[in-house]
Amino acid sequence: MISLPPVLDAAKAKRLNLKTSRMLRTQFGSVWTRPWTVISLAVITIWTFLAITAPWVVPFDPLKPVGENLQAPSSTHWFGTDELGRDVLSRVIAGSQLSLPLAVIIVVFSLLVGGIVGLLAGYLGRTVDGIAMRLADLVLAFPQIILAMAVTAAFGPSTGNAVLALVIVSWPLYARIIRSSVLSVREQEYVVSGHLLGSGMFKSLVKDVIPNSAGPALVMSTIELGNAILMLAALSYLGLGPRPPAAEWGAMIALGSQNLSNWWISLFPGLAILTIVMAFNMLGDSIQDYLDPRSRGGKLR
Amino acid sequence: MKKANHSKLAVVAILAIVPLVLTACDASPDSSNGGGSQTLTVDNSFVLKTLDPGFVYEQTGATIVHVLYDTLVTFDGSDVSEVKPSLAESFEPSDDAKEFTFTLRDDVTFTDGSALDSEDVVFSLNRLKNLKGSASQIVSSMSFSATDENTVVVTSDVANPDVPTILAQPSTGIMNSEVAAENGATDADDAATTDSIGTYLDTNSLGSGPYKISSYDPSSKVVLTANPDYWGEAPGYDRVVLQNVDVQNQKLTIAKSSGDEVALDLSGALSADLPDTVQISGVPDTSYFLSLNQDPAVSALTSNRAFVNALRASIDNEGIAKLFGPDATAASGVVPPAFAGALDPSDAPKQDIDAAKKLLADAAISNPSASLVYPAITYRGVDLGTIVTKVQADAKEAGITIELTPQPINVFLDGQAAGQNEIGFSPNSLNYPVAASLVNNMAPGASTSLRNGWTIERADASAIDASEAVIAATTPEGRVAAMQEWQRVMNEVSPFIPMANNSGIVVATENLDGAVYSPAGWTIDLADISSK
Amino acid sequence: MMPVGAQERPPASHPSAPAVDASSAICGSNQRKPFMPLLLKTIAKRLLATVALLWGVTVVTFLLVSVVPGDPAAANLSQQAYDDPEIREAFRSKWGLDQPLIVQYGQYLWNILHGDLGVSQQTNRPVLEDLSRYIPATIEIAIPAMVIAIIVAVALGILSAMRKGSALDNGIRVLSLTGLSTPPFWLALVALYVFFYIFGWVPNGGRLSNMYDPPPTITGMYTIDALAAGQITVFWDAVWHLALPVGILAVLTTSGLLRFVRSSMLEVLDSDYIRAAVAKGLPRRIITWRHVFKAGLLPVLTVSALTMASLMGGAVLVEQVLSWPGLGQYAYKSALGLDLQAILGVTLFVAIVYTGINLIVDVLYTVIDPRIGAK
Repeated sequence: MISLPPVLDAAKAKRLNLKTSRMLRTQFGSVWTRPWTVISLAVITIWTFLAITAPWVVPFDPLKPVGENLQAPSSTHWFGTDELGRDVLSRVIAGSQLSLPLAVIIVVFSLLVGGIVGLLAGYLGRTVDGIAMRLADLVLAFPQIILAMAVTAAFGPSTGNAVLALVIVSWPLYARIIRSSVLSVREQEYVVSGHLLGSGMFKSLVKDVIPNSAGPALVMSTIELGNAILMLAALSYLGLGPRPPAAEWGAMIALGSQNLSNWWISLFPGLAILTIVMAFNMLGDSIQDYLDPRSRGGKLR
Repeated sequence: MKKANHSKLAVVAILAIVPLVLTACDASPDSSNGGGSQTLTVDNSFVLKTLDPGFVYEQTGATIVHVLYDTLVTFDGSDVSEVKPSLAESFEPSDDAKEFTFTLRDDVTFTDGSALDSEDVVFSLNRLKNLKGSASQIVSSMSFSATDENTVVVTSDVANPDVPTILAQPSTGIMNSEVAAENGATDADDAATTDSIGTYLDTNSLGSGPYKISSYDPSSKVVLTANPDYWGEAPGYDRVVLQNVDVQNQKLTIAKSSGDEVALDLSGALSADLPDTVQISGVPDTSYFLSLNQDPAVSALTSNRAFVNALRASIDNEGIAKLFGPDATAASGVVPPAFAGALDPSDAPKQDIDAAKKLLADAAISNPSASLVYPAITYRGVDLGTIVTKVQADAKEAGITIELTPQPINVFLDGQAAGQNEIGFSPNSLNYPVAASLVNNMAPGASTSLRNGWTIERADASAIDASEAVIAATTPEGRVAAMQEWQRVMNEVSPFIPMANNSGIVVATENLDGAVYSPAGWTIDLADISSK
Repeated sequence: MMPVGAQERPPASHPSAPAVDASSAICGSNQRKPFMPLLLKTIAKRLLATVALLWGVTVVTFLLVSVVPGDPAAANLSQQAYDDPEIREAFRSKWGLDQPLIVQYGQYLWNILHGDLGVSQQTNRPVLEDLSRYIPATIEIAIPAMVIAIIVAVALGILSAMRKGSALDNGIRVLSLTGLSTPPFWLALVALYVFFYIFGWVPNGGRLSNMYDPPPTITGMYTIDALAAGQITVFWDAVWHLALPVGILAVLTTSGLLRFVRSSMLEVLDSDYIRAAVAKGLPRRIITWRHVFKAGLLPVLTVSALTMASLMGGAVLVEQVLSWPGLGQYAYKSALGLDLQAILGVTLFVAIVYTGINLIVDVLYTVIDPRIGAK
C-alpha cells in the first residue's frame, strides 16, 4: 500500500531536497558533458557524416563486385568481401544511407500521425477519444513483427512499404503521449480557471501541449529511432525490406547467416546496427535525464 | 544496505550458474544416436504438408512417403537411367508405348496381414488421378485396370515410354485399399470432393514399405520405425528421425555430428567448407532460368526476339554458376546434366557483350529496361536475390537496365500464374526424372510457356516441330536425340534463358553407407542407409 | 507491443508510476467511492472493451489477408494443377475462397463462436490443434525467460538506482543498453555459433534429442509432462534444449526490463516521502524494502505482464533461428504463406492474452490504488 507523505515544515523540506538531490545526482554537473552523452553524440555524428558522405568515403563501389567472392578481412578489404565479391566495408557504410534516413522518416511520420490522432483524441474527447484509443489498442494488440510482416507481404517488399508498415505499428505510442499531455493540460486549465471550454482554450491547449509533451515525445522519438533501425533490419532479415542489391544491414546479416563460417559478412553489419542503436538509446537516456526535474532542479513540469 | 546488496548479488549469481550446471550435467548426448536403439537423424528444412500419397507433392513429404509406400517400380541409389522392379516383378510395354502390363509379386503383405494385390494398385492409382491435386498431374492421361490378381495394365492416352518412370514416383505409392476405404478414402471419379480420409494417413501408414509412421509433427519432427513385416531387405536403421532444422544450423550440426546423421539442404556454397570427415554426394538436377514474356500487350520489349537473344548473350553463365557453389555448371540447355538428353556442359554459351550490343543496335532498341520478378527465397542453398543481382549487373554491361522485384513466394506464384511478369526467374526441378517431362511444360502452348505468353501462334514453327518430335519418339534413345535437338531449338527461339545448374546434395557423416542423393524425386532413399 | 529486445514502452493504458502527484491526490480524495461496485464496474467495462477489441482484430486481420495479392490456390497447387480450372475451383470451394468476403467473414465468426478456428492451409490440421501444440512450446521458453528476466532486472535495477552515477551503475546501464540495441536474430545467430558450434554446450535447436520420444501430452510442455510421467532423463534433456532459447530471450527481456526498473526506482527514490523517511531517520534498509520496493514494483509488474504478452507472439526471430516449433515460427510461416485461418488464430490468441493481461493488471491497480480506478 502506498502511504501519503507526512507533512513537513517547508524550510526543512527545501534543505532535504537539496541534500538528497545531491545524494542522487551524478558526479558530473551538466547532462551534456557526461561521458554517456558525449559518446552517443559522437557516434551519431560519425554515422550521420558517413551517411551523408558515403558516395565519396567508400573505398569501393558497394554495388559492384570488386574482389574474389567470400574473402576474409584483409588489408585491401578491411571487412572482407561477400558472396558476390563486393566489399563489405563499403556496403556497411552505404547501409547507413538507407537505415538512418529511413529511421528518421519513420519516426517523423509516426510522430505526425500519432500526434494528430492524440491531439484530436485529447481535445475532442468522448467518442473521438474512444475510437482513437480503441484503434491504438487494436494496433498494439498485434505482435509488432507480425503486423509489419503482414503489411509488407501484402503490398510487396520494398523500402516504401517497409516504412509504411513500421509507421503503422508505431503511431499509437506517440498518440498516447500526446493525448495524455493534452489531457493533463486540459485538467489543469479546468481546475484552475473553472470554466468550460471556449475558443481561447484551443490556442492555449496547443501552446501548452507542445512544451508539455515535447519532452517525453523527444525521448520516445530518440529511442524509437533505434527501434526503427532494428525493425527495418528484422524485416530485411525476413526478406521483406528494401530490395537487392541495396546494402541494407539486415539483409546483409540474413545473407551472412547462410554461412556462419564466413563470419565477417554478418558480424560487421550487426556491429553497425548495435553501435548506432546504442547511441540513440544513450542519447534518449541523456535527454530524459536532462528533462527530469529532479536531477536539474525543475526546468519543465 | 551492503548486506542486502550482497545477498541480492548472491541470488543473481546462483541463478546465473544454474543453467550452466544443467548444461554441464547433460553435455554428453548430442543430437545423434546414444546407446541402445539404432537411430538415423535426418536434418532437413521441412517442406511438408501431408503423408498421403495421393496428395504428396512437397520434397520432405516425398522423401518420407517413398519409404512408407512401395511403388510398382523404383530406382536404385542415384541412377535414374533405368527403372528397377519393386512391387512389380516385371513389366511389358506394348509396341506403340501406350499400354504397359505389370506383373506383381505375390509375397507382399500390409501391416494388417492382408496381401497386396492388383485391386490395391488400381485403387491407389485411380485415387491419385481422381483426387485432382498437385500430385495427380503425372497420371492424368493414364487409366488403370486389373486383369487378374497379380496383373495390372496401365494405358496411356498418348504414346509415352516414360510411364514406368512416372510409376516410380512416391505419389504413386500403393496403399491398403480396404483399410483406406474404411477410413473414407475413395478412388471414384468424384474423389476430389468425396474423399474423406483427411489427415488419417499423416499418422497411420497404410503402405507396405520398409518403414511405418511412429509420430508426425509437420513443423518439427517426423519419426519412422522399421516395418517388421517388410517383404524386402530390412533397412539399416530401426528408427529414423527427420527433424526440421534451418539451413545454417544444418551446416553447423553435421560438421559437429559424431555419426548416424545426414543433412539434405546443404547445396551450393554451403557444402564448400565442410570438414573432410563428411561424405558429400550430389547430382546436378536443378536448373535456373529466366523467362521472358512473349505477349506484346505485357511488354513490347521482352516479346522482341532480338532483346531475348541480346539478354541471353549478355549473361555470364559461368559467373552465375560460381555463385551456386563448387559443383555447379553453366547451363547449355534447359535440361540439367543429370538426365539423359542433356546437352554437353562445355557447350554452354559464354558471355558476349559485343554480340548483345550488336543485336540491340540492329533491332534499333535503345535504353532497354525491364522488370525482373522473382521469389525472395533461398532455394537449394542459394539466395535467389544474389543470382538476380548478378544478372542485373551483367545486363547493365550491355546497356540493359533490369529492375529487380522480389516477392514473397505466394505472391510470386500467383503473379506467375497470372502471366503478367515481364521477366520471371525461378528454379526448375523436373516432375519426374526424365528430360522429356520438360517438354510437357515448356513446349509452345504448354503450361509454363502460356504463363509467359508463349502461345502456339507466337511460337516459331521450329519449336513446335521439335516438341512434337520429342513426343513422337517411342524409344528412350529416340527421345534422347529428340531432346537434344529440342534444346538447341529452344536456345534460339524460346523465351527461356537457362543460366546454371546445381545439385541437390546429401551430406552424410563418415560412418554411413548408402546415403546418396537421388534425383529420382525422393532426395534420398532412407531405407538404403546403414552404418558401416 | 514490444518486440523482444526493443526498449520498454510505457504500459498501454496506465500511469507509468504510482500516482503520488498532486492532482490525483486532490481528485482522489474528492471522489472516493464504495469499493466493490467500482471494481465490478471496472471489470465489466473492460470486458466489454476487450470483446470489442477482439472483434476489431478479426476484422482487421481478415481484411489485411484478403487484400494481399496472392491467391492461396496458386501458392498451394502445382503449376499444372492450378492451370486446370477444375482443380483450381475444387481447391477454392474447399477452402471457401469462392464466397464473397462478407460471407467468408460471417462464416468465420460463426465458427469461432462454436470453438472452430478453421483449418490451417499449411499444416492441414485444425488451427486449434496447431495452437495447442505451438502455444505450450512458446510458453515453455517465455515463462522461464520472464522469470529470470524479472529476477535479474529487479536485482540489478535496484542496485543500479541505489548507486546512481557510480561505475557499477554505468556498467549495468551499458550492459542493458547493449542488450536492447542488439538485433535479436543476430544475437541468436551469434549465440548459436558460439555456444553450440564452438563450445558444444547446448544442442543445435529443437525441443528434444532424437533418441527420446515426447512424453505423453498433458500440458504440451515437455518438461512438465516428462516430470509428470516420471521420465527423468527426458526431463533433463528437454531442459537442456531450453537453455539456449531461454537464455537468449532472457538476455533480451532483461535489458528492457532493467532499464524500466531502474528509472522506476529512481523516481520513487526521489519522491517526497522517501526524502521524508530519510529525514525521519529511518534506516536505509527499511526504506529500501518497504517503500521503494513496493512502490517501484507496481509499474514493473505492469511492464512485465505486458512483456510476457509480447513474448508470446514476438519471439519469431529467435524461434526461427533455433528451429523452436512455437507460436512465433507458426505465425511467421502463416504470414508468409497467406494462411488466413492460421494468421487469424494466432492474432486472436495473442490479442486475447494481451487484453487479458491488461485487464488483470487494471484490476490489480484498482485494488491496490483505488484512486486510479476512480479517475
